[in-house]
Amino acid sequence: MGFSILIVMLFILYSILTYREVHNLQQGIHESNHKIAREELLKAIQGAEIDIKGHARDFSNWEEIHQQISNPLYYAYWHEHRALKAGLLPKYINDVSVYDKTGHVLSNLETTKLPLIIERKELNSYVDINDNKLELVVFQEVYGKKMIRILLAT
Amino acid sequence: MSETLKWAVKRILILSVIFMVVITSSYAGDIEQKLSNGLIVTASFHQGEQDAPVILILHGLLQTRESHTVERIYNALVDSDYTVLAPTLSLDISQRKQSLACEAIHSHSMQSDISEIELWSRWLHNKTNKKVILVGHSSGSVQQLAYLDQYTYKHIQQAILISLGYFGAAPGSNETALDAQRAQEMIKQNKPGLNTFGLSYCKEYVTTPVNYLSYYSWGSKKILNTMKDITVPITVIIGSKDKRIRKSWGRSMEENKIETIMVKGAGHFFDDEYEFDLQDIIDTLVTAS
Repeated sequence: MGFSILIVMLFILYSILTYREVHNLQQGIHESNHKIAREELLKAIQGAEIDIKGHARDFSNWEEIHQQISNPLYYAYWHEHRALKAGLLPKYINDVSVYDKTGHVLSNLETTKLPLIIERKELNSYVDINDNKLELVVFQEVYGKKMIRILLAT
Repeated sequence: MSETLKWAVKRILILSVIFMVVITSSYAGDIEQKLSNGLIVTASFHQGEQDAPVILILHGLLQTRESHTVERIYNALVDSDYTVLAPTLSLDISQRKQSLACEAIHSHSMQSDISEIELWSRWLHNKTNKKVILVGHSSGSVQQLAYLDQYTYKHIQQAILISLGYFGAAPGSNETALDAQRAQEMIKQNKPGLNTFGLSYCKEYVTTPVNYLSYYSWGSKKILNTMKDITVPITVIIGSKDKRIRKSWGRSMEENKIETIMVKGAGHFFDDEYEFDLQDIIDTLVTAS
């Protein structure tokens, strides 16, 4: 196999629904059919997860990610100026962090709320509520490129 | 073993050897090398006829070997069955395949670029046991020249520098003397970190002051002086409608007795009908040497 896992993860925070929408849904739960409202919310989250995972896959192939993994010296600059501003991700993505293969973030930044360490065994998407916003956290593995044919350096 | 069986085995062996020779002599595809710092650099390689010219062609600033001008030249040379190598400079990214944005972090320098040219040109020379013809496009031409300036070049036959420009103030370029001054001050003040400068077509080129000056220093005077000092035959090919160089640039080269071919009407990339003019000129130059 030409591919190998280089790092554990990309971490993406996604404001999928505003607090007001969630509140409305919760109202719906109390006022009408509890089960239907719950299913609607689940459906919205699942749809968002599929969408965001597609973006995350494309994002993981960006060579600037590989550049950061191999040399994170300027990770803070990259995180601030490139990660979300290079135009590769839609504007509703709130944050991204890149982790090494041991699960440690490439650099500890005060500007992110994302965790410093992640467990490789627990890479399932999850939903969180922060600042009255429902957020979806998605993981994406980054793979090394396929080796073609290594020649000995002369 | 019966005579018929012996004959059949012998025939299979002969055919296998012929097949292997054909495969080896006409190899075409992507190859890789590992640098001492662990980075993997890649190139397209075509093994041509035994007596054919051996050529190394290099792309322009932040591009790859798939940039259209270089790819077209590569394909034309392959069609002629010359031996051709087209590396993609790593720009400090292993197995780089994508062009790098101006605003990305640029941890590469002129020095790291020309170290890769040295690696590939030596490899090509060792593989073919023939002298190598260097071809560059745009800033790839500046890099080929910088390489000849720094390394011994007994294994190089000639250099063909297409759309050779220079860093520093030029039409369509974004670097200024102020950028260079700012970079020098940062070095003096021991501020070696990232900053944003103008460079070539990039309005915001992000790099360290030292790396920035490694490119910026290759201004018009340095290029002319270097060409005069190098003993390898150099031919410069420029388009009369290249908007990235001053009109006086061609005249400066002629005044300095540098072999210059001006293609009337062609732009920086030799698009449209000028593609064929360029290919004809390159073909004439590589077969004449």
